[in-house]
Amino acid sequence: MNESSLAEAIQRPEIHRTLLGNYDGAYALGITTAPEHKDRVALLLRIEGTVPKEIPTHIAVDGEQIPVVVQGGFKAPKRQ
Amino acid sequence: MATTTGQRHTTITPPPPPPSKDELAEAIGRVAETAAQLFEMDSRVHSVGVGSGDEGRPIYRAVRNKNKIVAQKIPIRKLAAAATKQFAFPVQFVDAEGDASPLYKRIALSVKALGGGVFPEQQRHRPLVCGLQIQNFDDDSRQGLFAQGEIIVGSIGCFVKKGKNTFILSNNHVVAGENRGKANDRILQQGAIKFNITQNAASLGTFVPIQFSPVGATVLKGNVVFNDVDAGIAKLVSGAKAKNQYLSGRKEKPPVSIGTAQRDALVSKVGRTTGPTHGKITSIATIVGPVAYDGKPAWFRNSIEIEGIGMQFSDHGDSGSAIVNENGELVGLLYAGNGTQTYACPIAAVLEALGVSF
Repeated sequence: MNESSLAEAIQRPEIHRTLLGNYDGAYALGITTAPEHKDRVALLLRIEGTVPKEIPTHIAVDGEQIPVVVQGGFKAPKRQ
Repeated sequence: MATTTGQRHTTITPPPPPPSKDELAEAIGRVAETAAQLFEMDSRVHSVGVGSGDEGRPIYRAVRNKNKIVAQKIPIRKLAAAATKQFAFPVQFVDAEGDASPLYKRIALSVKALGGGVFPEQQRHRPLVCGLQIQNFDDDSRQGLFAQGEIIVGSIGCFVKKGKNTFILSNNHVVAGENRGKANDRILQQGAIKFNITQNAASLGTFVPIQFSPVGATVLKGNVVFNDVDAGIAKLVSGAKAKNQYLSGRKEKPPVSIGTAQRDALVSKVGRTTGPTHGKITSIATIVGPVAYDGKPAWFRNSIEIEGIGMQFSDHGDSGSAIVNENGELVGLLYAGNGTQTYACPIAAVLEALGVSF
């Protein structure tokens, strides 16, 4: 999957629902480089606090499995 | 018959002596850095000020939104104990019902702005170059900031063209005060609490309005209003000279052309608060929110996320800085951060939204 297709896909609410469940804190969800395949893309999800086990490590986007890298300890940004 | 009227006795405790001028000046001088650390300690803290404590010493008073939903709630006693050990003066935490308190931003920025420059970008320079400190003087005036000795500042990103005219490119929240800006507001470089013609650099042109989302809005609920950019331009005053370069002595590549942000690319910026910094793009096409503006949440999409390499990439006052890659390509316009991650709008969207060219 190319970056522009994925960029459009991650704006869909169902992607957020699948990844975040009932989480309603601040977060950032973007496209990054897959940790073990530098030529492939992954999703980078940053959330506040610790990472719940329920967050999937992969997500199907338009039939393709995309790795999800989740990092906790995120703080809501402020305009600078 | 003699009667006596009851008498009420009131014990009056003498008030504590006021803090010494030296201690007060020290506390005020450190409020910006203290505030930045307190915001990091507890994301519910939304304002920090300097007050007088019971023992006649200055204290920092940190107000936090007790209703804000956070992953980990830190008890106020624990927080105060940790904070008081960490800082030069005691910290008093106060729980408030709401989140809206823009004052800290003004205090933090104004102290840095008026307290003398750490970086030369905070001083007046001509010709104008990228990274210099700017202020919307008229917006600050309308906000009544000068009586408190405060101004709001940001950074020049670069200079762009529209027709025959040259404009400063920065954020809406820098040149237009988060949608408050009025046509021809005076933009000063470096910024002042009294108008100074020698600082008059530009006048507000246009800006892309920031769309705020309801408090508690989420993508899941479908009530988030996305922004693509936080951007505005100010037309240079007649005779003003500007160069898409940094101050002499800066080793970072200034923007020479337009590019697209790439994953893992190395980038740099020069801003008025943290000066020159270097980082790496950690994600692109990023959805991020809520981003705290003056008490109002905003959500962004298609943002570039950057982390500093061996340093914090940005801080309050760096907004508007140009994000430049190793090839000298301008890829983004810095608008927000949290001390670890910095967020920038993609430059192509910025130029398109404003109808300008680099």
